[in-house]
Amino acid sequence: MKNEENNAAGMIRSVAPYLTLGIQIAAAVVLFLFVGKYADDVLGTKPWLMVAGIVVGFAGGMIHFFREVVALSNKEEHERITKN
Amino acid sequence: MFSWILLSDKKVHQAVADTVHAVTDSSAHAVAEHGAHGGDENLFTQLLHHIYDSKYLEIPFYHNPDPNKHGFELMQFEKWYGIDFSITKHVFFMWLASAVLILVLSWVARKNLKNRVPKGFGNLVEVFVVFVRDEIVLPNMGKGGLKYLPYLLTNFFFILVMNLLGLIPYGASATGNVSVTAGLAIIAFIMIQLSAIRAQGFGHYLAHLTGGVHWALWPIMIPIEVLGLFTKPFALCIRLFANMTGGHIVILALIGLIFVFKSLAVAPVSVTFALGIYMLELFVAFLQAYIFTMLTSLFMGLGMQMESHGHRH
Amino acid sequence: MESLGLGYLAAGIGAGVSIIGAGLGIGKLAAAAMEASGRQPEAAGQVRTSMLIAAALIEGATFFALAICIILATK
Repeated sequence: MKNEENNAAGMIRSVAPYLTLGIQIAAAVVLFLFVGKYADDVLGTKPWLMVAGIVVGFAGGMIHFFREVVALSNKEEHERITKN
Repeated sequence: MFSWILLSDKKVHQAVADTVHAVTDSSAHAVAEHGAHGGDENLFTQLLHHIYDSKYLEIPFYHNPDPNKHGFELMQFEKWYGIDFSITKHVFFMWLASAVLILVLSWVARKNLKNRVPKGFGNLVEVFVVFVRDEIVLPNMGKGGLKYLPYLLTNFFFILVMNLLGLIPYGASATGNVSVTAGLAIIAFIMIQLSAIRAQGFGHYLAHLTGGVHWALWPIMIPIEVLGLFTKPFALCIRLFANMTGGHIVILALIGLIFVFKSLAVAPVSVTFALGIYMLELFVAFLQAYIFTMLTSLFMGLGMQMESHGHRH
Repeated sequence: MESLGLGYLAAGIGAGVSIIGAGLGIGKLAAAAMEASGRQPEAAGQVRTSMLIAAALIEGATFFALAICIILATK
């Protein structure tokens, strides 16, 4: 792990865990949107379950995002301490 | 001085078409043919035909007597439970890539075993192998990753040869087909999960999927975490496909400019630019093989390291 | 013009506008992060981490807008 950030490969390596964070939020919303839409079609409760799905998906996406960010920054802090 | 350029449209067209037919492959010829029928409103869709998969293989100096068939017709099969197993252009080039790899690499391996200091082509291949081992596998996955080295090397060389086959005349890159890259990404997905399960144990792997939240949130978090497993290989698939297709479209579009403007004066410019893009494509062929292998090993490494860092969120 | 055509138009314009917003946001973010790590190279690691987190949030919002555009276009 010597001067990791100075080459392109090291850069990709340090950035990689963050690459899928953004799409994860949107993917969660879209997933629950379609689940809600399907449930609407089955139960005949248009459009309410779809709206609920969007809310649940957004909340879940944000929870996942912040948990992941906290875990990653803890890990980075840990690595910084053990390196010095 | 432009008198030779400002011939009647049709004449220039015929001249350009003949020249192009003489010097390049039949893809450009088809563009010219289409243009000769008048109207270039569908030029772009015509270009796309040379990027899409087809049932015909273009072979030098071969013309199918049937005018509806552009080239040698590959083997066609009946649909089997709704799935078409016919051999297409991209399947042919994928098999060609694997045949090239099996023959060339086994020959090189036998040669390199004989002389301790490899020279010539053996040396070139060894440079790539050592690069994948020392610059991709060891920094990303550590010593434990060496048992996945054969998979990653196969991945690297297979993608590289498929990319390069698209750059030779009459060739096509199988990686410009989203089904091929999806297949590669599915294998990468399986390898990422398998390496994570082997390193962490199945219980830890499942525990990670729950995200470590309160059990009341599991119905929400588990689908999101499972979705997260798929986003990485999905990005791999789209990245490789888009890069390989994009370059080919740019080259064909630059050549197509000649037929859009219907003038020979455009030819030097567009051929020069197309040559430049071709050189870029050569670089991109290596770069994309590297990126795919690099990111696959990186994601495998991320899954494997979870255990050593203690999986505590 | 049919209403379906207007839907396609809306999807296209929406995708373009959301990308303009994301481009402006990530551009400003990257400029600020570069400046910060130029002033304090020893804190470059932390600056990069917080830049990536903010970029991921912008990206998420943009993907959300693009998903709406895709749904609009495939309707």
